[in-house]
Formats: sequence, structure tokens, C-alpha cells
Amino acid sequence: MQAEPTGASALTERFRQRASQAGATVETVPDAAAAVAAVGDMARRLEAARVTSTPEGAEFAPASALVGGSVAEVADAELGVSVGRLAVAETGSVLLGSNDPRARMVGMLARTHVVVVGADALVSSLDDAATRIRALARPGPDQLRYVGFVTGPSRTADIERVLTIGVQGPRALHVVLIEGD
Amino acid sequence: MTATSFGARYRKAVQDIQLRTNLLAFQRGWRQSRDERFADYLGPDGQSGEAEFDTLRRQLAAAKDAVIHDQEAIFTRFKAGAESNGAVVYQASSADDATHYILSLCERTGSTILVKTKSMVSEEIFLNHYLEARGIRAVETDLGEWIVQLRHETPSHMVMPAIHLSRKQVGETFSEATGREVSREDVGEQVGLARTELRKDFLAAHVGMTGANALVAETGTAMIITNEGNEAMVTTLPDVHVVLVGYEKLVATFEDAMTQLRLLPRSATGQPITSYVTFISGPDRAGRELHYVFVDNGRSAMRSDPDFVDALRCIRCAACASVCPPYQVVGGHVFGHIYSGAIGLVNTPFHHGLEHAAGPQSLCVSCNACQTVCPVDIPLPRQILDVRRRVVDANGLSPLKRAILFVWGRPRLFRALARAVAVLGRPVTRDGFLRLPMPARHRWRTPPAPRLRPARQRLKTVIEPAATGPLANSGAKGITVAYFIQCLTDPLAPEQAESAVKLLSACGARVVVPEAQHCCGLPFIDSGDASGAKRLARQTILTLESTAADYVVSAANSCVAAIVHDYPHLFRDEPQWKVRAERLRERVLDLASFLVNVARLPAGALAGRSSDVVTYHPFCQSLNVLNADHAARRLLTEVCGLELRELPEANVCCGFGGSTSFDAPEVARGIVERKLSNIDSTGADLLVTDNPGCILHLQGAALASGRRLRVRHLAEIMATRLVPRSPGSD
Repeated sequence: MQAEPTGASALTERFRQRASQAGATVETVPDAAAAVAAVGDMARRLEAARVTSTPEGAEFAPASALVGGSVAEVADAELGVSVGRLAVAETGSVLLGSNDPRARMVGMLARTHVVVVGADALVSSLDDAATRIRALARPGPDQLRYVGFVTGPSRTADIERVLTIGVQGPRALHVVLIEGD
Repeated sequence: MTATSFGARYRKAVQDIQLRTNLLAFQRGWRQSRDERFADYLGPDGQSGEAEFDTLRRQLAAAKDAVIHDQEAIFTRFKAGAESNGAVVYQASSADDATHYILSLCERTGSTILVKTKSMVSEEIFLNHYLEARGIRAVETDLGEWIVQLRHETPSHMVMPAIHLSRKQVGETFSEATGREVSREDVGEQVGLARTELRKDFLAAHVGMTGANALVAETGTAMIITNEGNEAMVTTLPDVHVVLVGYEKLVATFEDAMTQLRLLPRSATGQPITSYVTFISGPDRAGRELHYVFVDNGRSAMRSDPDFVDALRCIRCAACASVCPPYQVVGGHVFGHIYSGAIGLVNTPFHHGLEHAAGPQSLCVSCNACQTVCPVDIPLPRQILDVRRRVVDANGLSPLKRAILFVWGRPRLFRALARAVAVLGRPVTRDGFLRLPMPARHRWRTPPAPRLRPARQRLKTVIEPAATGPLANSGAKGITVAYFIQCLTDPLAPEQAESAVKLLSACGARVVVPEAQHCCGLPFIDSGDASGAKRLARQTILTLESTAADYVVSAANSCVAAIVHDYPHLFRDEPQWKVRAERLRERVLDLASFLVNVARLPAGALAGRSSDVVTYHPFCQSLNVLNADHAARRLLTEVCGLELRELPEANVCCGFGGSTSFDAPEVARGIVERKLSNIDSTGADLLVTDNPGCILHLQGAALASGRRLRVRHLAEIMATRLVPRSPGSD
């Protein structure tokens, strides 16, 4: 067992470690502009002909990205861009949430999913996340009826316990963490 | 599958080498991942993995108990929350009512396809059959479920439905289903095919059905966990989402849901968390519908039954199957009914009737491994024995078992018969075993031979303490110990009792061997004969009470476990006997625990050279019930200075399991072969363990297979070291 880092940067380190163990990649960037660049790089690397984004993700996605596409338009897009509402260090998870099914489809149907998260959204434990999810689940104007942790890419081990990545959902998950100051 | 009888399924499974191979690989991989995930979970105080596990499971068990106790109020809160968010909450009056409700949703929306995620409740109420008979195609979208659906099978494991199959079998199934050639080797290609095929159904269905892993009452929110991402499609693409659940999924708060989330993926698949964990609080837009269908189907009866209420804590992780030795031999289509594994033996009587539990429960070897990994600490081993008792109450014992127990319960008859076999068997007895041709189902074993002089004749009723010798000044000096021989040890392994008594007296203890002792009642408890068990337990309590010794000690750990673990439950309705049983329990110790905790034998006290290559296997209940494993290891390594070869899967039972070994010899054989091949891998020629039944079982199987392995009791190894020996005389 590795010694656990402490402190704020340590939280980032722990998040990175746990997310990587789940098969995600984590990139830290200093600000929103760098996040835009990171997502753009990713689209180029993937030679993405189709990029799709949630409304919140549009700020970070290439200008050509499709926002609010139908199932057919979103399905198997090379890249999908979302914004995470939380990142949880304990498990290396990001929390996504939306009442708009089209926004949820981005992280569900794209082949590669990139999630941008602000540093202020990084929390230590699932208990911290519980407090936040409770607030989101309560009736009111900010209520989100669908929220969920995403940890690594879609996977199965149903056949002979052989790990296979990308069953129904994305084959890769990238997290871009904006560190700020 | 379900149409065939239990006996037919059993006979087919025990001949299926592929099945056993698949499940052995699965169980080994599961155990390693599961242990690693608890070891690398870091709580605030950074305890060991098993300590963290224990802390977490106590939290979750308490949270679930509170909900079970207060179910009506918690349900009302959940319902209010869900309805205020626009969901419909329906309490089905029966399994049929639930299936009918879901059918009517399909009919109303004109959907001829229902896409589903994995749901054990839908299996429990046979939803797919019901819908298909009425023209609705139910499509399983979890890969494992889809595979078993294509094969017209049921899931053989609650979490890994197709784990009984090899990739070759999956390739054949896919080729047949799609009419084109699918690789028998490339799992990636097989998974890709599922993605393509299932995508069409996701888009065509108007109704999607899921279960829920937890229902959070405070806001009326469902928590659903998956790895594949199929749940997101089932809950988002169709217009109607129906959640089919049992009441036991309710939890009070999000914090409780998080505790469950820390335990469930680790216990189920050895993951820290699944890829997807979704919280749904209501339909997401106008025109969409979210329905909850709550099913009782026997749960109320469980809740009002004090012997079984704890089973409602179950979070369906299937760890009890993943760890179970008989499950590895026969698989979930035999070890269970719809629900498989230990929990299946326990909840089947309530969901599907006692008759469906009768066969599967007979395969449990009472090793207690299931409870050690259960993330809500359900007393599964005890509950399985309670199911067994109910089966026997309903069906009676088999004539053979009745005859055996008739003899067993009568000390004079039992001893006379043992003596007769000893005399008659003399010409074919060698090294304490009867070299007889065995019937086909038992050919893998050699039966032990009763001795002409049983232990009770070899031991005096009072043995005075040794005044000198290497252990004479131990912490046991001046203490009086009553020694319990065990009915099986008496004729079949008297040298084990002699060794134990020799050790106790060498420790400076005065040993009394009560003459009236016979059997603790364990064979009766194991057979589901509660009245026979009580008769012998009372007799044992009376006999041991009469000695007024400071401690009662035995080298027969199964009897110690029975007294400590089974007696209080056996007498739960007889307060006076329960008190006496509990008082006795305070004084009873297995030999190893006594030597370490009371005699406090120092390191090196019995050091000496050994030319044997030694490995150690803890009796499953020494490990899982008595916590005596640590003491036994200390005696062997520190007190005797032996170097032990580490035995792989040491925590898996040897397969003796009392009467199971005779009722289901193929299961006992499968498990003992797993144990022997693990022993082979250590290169040991001497196996040390700590329970007479296991020793006779293991030695008998080793002999029949032509192995030269010697199996000895810890007491024997230690006692031979009391005598000063010339160098190299081992």
C-alpha cells in the first residue's frame, strides 16, 4: 500500500492515482484557456471527425462541436465533451449530471469522453459527495434528477473474468482538471 | 434448466469438468482482487484491509437493520420523495401483479421490446417468460445476462451471470444466435458483437427496466450501479423507465448509500467502484415516466421470522457464492434455485418454496466462509442449518441417515459397532485405514479403521500434571482441564487425543477425562435433526458441568465450534439450557488457543530439528468461527520452530463438511482434490491441521490417490517433541 499524500495538491494526486487505476487519464491544466487547448489537442490526436458536447462543455470544446445532437448524431462520435460537477479523490470518479437526455448521451455514446472539472469541485471522499448529491436531488430550481459518478471507461469482465474496455459506453475517459490558483 | 430435477442437475454438473475449471479460475481471481481492494481502501485510521472491511460492514449492517425495523416509515418517506418528483410508486400485491403491471406499461406505449439491465427481482418473478408469452420481447442488455438469455439459461451467479461458461462456449452461442461466425477465442470481438446487436434494441424500445442497488429514502432517489454503461441507455433512451425492486433495497440516507457503495463493488467484483453509479430522482422531462414497482414475494414472512430476518440485509454482491467451495464444484444452477450461493439457500424457501431449497441446501459443507466475506454480516451458515432443519421437519431424514443417527446417539451401541468393525476389519487394516474396495461414488477415499483400543481405554480418568519437562512451568500450571475426546476421535484417531492430553499434562495442568462423555451433537445439527442434537448437547453440557474444571479443552475443533457457535442458537427457545450453554461456552477452548492464551507457551519451548517439508491447513471453522488460526501458526512456527511452506488457498475448506461428504461425495471429492493439488504445489510431505474429521478425510483421499502425504494433528506434532530425541531421529 502506498503512503497517502496529504494537503490540497495531495488531493489532486490521490484523484489522479485512483482515476488512473480505473483506466482513466488525468491531465491538470492551469486555467480554462489551457483546458480548451487540452480538449482541442485531444480532438486532433483522435483525428475526430465528429465532436459532440453538452451545453456546459461547449465552452471547452472545439468550435465545430455539435451541441444537443440526436442519438444518431451523437452515437459513436470520436469525442464527447462534458463538464464534471465534482471530482472525488477517494475513488477517482467524476460526477456528471443533467436533466437533458441529449446532454447525458454525450458521455454515453461517444467513443472517447473528456470531462473538464474545476479544482474547486475536487472533494476528498464519497461522504463529501453525498452531501452534494443530496442538495442536487432535492426539489427546487437547481434539482438534477439524473446525476452519476463515472469512473474510468465502460467495461465488462463477464466472459471468463477477462477485462474488456468499452462495452456500451466510451472506450476511453479523460479528465481535464483545472487547477486554478 | 429449472424444469429438470435437482438430482438430474446435480449429476450433470458433477461430470462437467469445464464448469469446475471455469469456476476455479473465477474464484481464485475473485478472492485475490477482493482482498486487494479492501487492503488498499484507506479509511481515516488506515487499518488493515480486513479491519476496514469489518468496520464498514458493521456500519452497513446497522443501517440496513434500522431500515428493516422501521420499514413502513422509511418506505413512506421514499414514496413521498419520489412522487413529489413525478415518479409513480406501485406496491405490487404479488409477483404476478408486478409482472402484469410491467406488461401493461408495454402495452400502453405500444412497445414490443423491453430493454433491461440486470435485475434479480425480475428473475425471481420470472418476468421474461411472462412477457414473452404475451408477445413482448424482453432483452437483457448486461453482457452476461444476454449470454445466458441467448442460451435459455438462468444466471448462475448474481453478479457474473455467465461465469460458468468459457469463451469458447460464448463464441458458439453468439455464432448460433447471429447466424455468422464469431470468434471462440477473442473476447474483444465477442463484446463488440454485443455492442452492435444490443444498440438496435436500445433504440427500438419504448420501455426500459432496471433494478436498483439502493433506494435513498430522504429524497426518493434510486442508486443504480453498472460497469458496462447499459443502464444509462436503458434509463434515458426509452420514454418509460420502470424500476423493479424489493423493499430490502431501501436505505435512509445518501451516507448509507455511500457505505454500501464502498462495500458492494469490492465484494462483488473486486473493484473500488463500478464505472457507473447513477442517482435518479424522477423523470427528467415532461412526457417521460418513471415507475417503481415494489415486490414483496415472501419478504414480509422473512421480516417476521427471527431466524431469517437478517438475510434481508443482503445487497446481492454474491461474495457468498464467489467464496463457496461447493459452489465451485457444481455451479449456481445447482447450488441455489433462482438466487445462487449461500443467500440463495436461505431466501429460496421464502421466494419460491422450501421444496426448491431442499436439494441445494444439502450441499453446504458448513465451512462458514460465506459469513466471513459477507458485507452485511448475515449469519448465513447458521441460517442454512435452519433451512436444513425445516427441510427435515417437512420431509424427514433418509432411512440410511436415520439408521446412522440412531446408532450414533447411543454410546454403547456406537462403541460396540466400532469394536466389531475393528475386529472384522483387522485383516484389511493398514496404517489405520481400511483397504477395502469402495463403491464407485466413494472410490476416491479410503475409510478410516476403528481401533481395538479407543482413546477412552487409553486415557485414565485423571491424569496428574507433569512436575518436570520443558513445559512444566507454563501458564497452565495448577489449572484443572476437562478433556473432551470427541466420538469420532475415540475409535478412529485415539492417538490425537493421547497427544493432546500428554501436552496438557506436560504444561502442568491436571487433566480429567469425564467418563460419561460421548458426542456433542454436531452430526445431528449437521443433519437437521434438532431434537437429536438437543438430546446430545444436554448430555454433553451435564457431563462437562459435573467436572467443575477451569477449562474444557479439545483437539477436536469441530466440537469446540459446535459448543461455542451452535449451542446458544440450538437452545434459543429454552432459556435455562441457553444460559447453561453460554456458561459452558465461556470455559471451552480449542487446544491451540489454550496452549497460546492460557499456557502461554514461549517461543522455542519445543524447538527441534525436522526433516519433513511441512505445510499447514487450518480447519475452516478454526479459521472462520474460532479464530484459532493465529494460535496454531504460532505454535508451529514459534514454539516448535518449524518452517512452514505457505499453502495456497489455505482459507478454503477441505470438503469434509460432516454429513455432506456422504450425501454428496462428488462435491467432497471436488473440494478435496482442490486442496490436495494446492498441497502438492508446496512440495510438502507433511500436512499439519487441527481437526480430526478433516485429517481422516484428507489422509483417506491422499491414500486413495496414491500420494505419500502424511496428515497429522497439531497435537501429534507437538507431543512428539516432548520426548528428548537423538539428533535426526524425526
